[in-house]
Amino acid sequence: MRGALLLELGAVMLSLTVLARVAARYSFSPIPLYLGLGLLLSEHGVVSLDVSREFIHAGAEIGAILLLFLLGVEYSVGELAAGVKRAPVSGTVDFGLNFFPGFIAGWALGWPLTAAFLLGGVTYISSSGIAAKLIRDLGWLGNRETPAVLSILVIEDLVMALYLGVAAALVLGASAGGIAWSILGAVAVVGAVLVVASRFGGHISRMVFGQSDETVLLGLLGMVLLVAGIAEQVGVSAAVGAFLVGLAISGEAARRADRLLGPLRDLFGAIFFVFFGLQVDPSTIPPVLVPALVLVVAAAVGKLITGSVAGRRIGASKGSRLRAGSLLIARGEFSIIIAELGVEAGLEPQLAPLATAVVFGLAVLGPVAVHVAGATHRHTPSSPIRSP
Amino acid sequence: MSTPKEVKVIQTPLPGIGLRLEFVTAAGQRVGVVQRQQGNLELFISHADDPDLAATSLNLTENEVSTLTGLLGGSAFSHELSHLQEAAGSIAVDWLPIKARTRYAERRLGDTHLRAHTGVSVVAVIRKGAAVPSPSPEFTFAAGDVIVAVGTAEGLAEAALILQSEP
Repeated sequence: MRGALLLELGAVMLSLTVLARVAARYSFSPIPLYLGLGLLLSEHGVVSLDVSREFIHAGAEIGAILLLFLLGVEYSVGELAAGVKRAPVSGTVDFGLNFFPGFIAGWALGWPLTAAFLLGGVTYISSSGIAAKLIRDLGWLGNRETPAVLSILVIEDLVMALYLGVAAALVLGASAGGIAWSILGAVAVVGAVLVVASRFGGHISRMVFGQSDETVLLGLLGMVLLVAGIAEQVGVSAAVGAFLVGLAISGEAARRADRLLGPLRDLFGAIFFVFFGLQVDPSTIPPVLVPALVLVVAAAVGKLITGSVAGRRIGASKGSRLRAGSLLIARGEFSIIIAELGVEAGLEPQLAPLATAVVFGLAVLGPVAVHVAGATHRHTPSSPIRSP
Repeated sequence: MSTPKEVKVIQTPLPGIGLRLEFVTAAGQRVGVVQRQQGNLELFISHADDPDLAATSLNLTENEVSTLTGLLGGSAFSHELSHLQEAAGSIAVDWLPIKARTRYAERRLGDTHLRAHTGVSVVAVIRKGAAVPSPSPEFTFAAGDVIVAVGTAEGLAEAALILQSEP
């Protein structure tokens, strides 16, 4: 039927708007609601989408790439290096306490090791989107713990870039040699991008300066998609390629990229979450609820301990450490990107429902925990500030 | 500038967001600003009971910043210099020429949005050998002027780039 595509897409977009408004009204993340909408629209869901599925699939791929690209744009290469240097201990604690719950759970459920490895990634990486939004909305940029939290998020983002490279190789079912090749490829690409970024960063910035918005928008989008596509062709994950292109862009050009592509990221990012939900049969969720609940608790406690360790290292008060941990609890966009790798490859039927349930739980619990932690400040004399 | 007890300003990078500068008042509260990469400035004051929590945070535009600076009494010039002393490690001074046939020759300082885009502060303009300290945003450049700017090495490099851009 002609026009059916427009009808379906229009209905999906409007539903997303309503959900985004509800989420904003109660100041929590819209991500779980987007996933939920996907569930409702899946093949076995309440209403099934038929004509717009392909468009949504393509949109989801673009969404994942833009999420990673703009994450890279936010950081400069120097900031990444400084972040890693500032919080190596908390970063290690973070990985140990939050990767292994997922990994062990996958293993205990008798999954293939690659699927368990991906579930470890799902529980490891905090949602820097949700954390950053909470920090902004609550006016917490001036808080003692904020730099420590941001440093941990930086380390996670960097680890994720490497992790995605390895995961992509594992999912391809590559031999040990293949994985080594893929990692070598990733390192080579990273090196090349860093050299280009430091040598020609100024030229790129200048190039972006004089042009019209339209030219810049199309140019950037084209470049990101092309590099992501090449990266995928050579077996390095497309998302990693996009992240690296983002890193290469800094300064004024970065601000412009963020302003122009930010709205596209929001649009296609939302579609990405819906698409992930679409692939899950709602009836597969109840059987994984018990492991999901265990993982939500373990992953929340893991982040609270991480926050406490990070806070203690900068001499922060109890309340400050609690806020740090709770800011890290929410999982979101990156967990879903990791899970999608396995779902696309059909590694393990339980991965999609379990990842959905865990991300849903933590994306809801995280902001709630942050608000609770924020309300419990008391008179707590603390030690003098010092540079971390 | 020469107070009996020097106030120590602490600088913390906020990856992906910008730079935080803060100090502790004699009463034990933290006061500071966050310089966002997007250029706007956020002022924060810690909670009276919990010094680790920002109780108030205000987003300020460039004009509001200069107004507040004025209200606080000092000229922008001396404030920049005291910042300079405390953060000498990462803050640098640079002399940036306004060349003929560039975009900002004959235009106002405010039009460059240097502080917003690069975090760089213009502390003076040197014209024909004489310095104009703390030029206002209305100050109109002429070809041959030299800007004395304070900022991070990165910010200064960007500022130089902006000032070299063609009309």
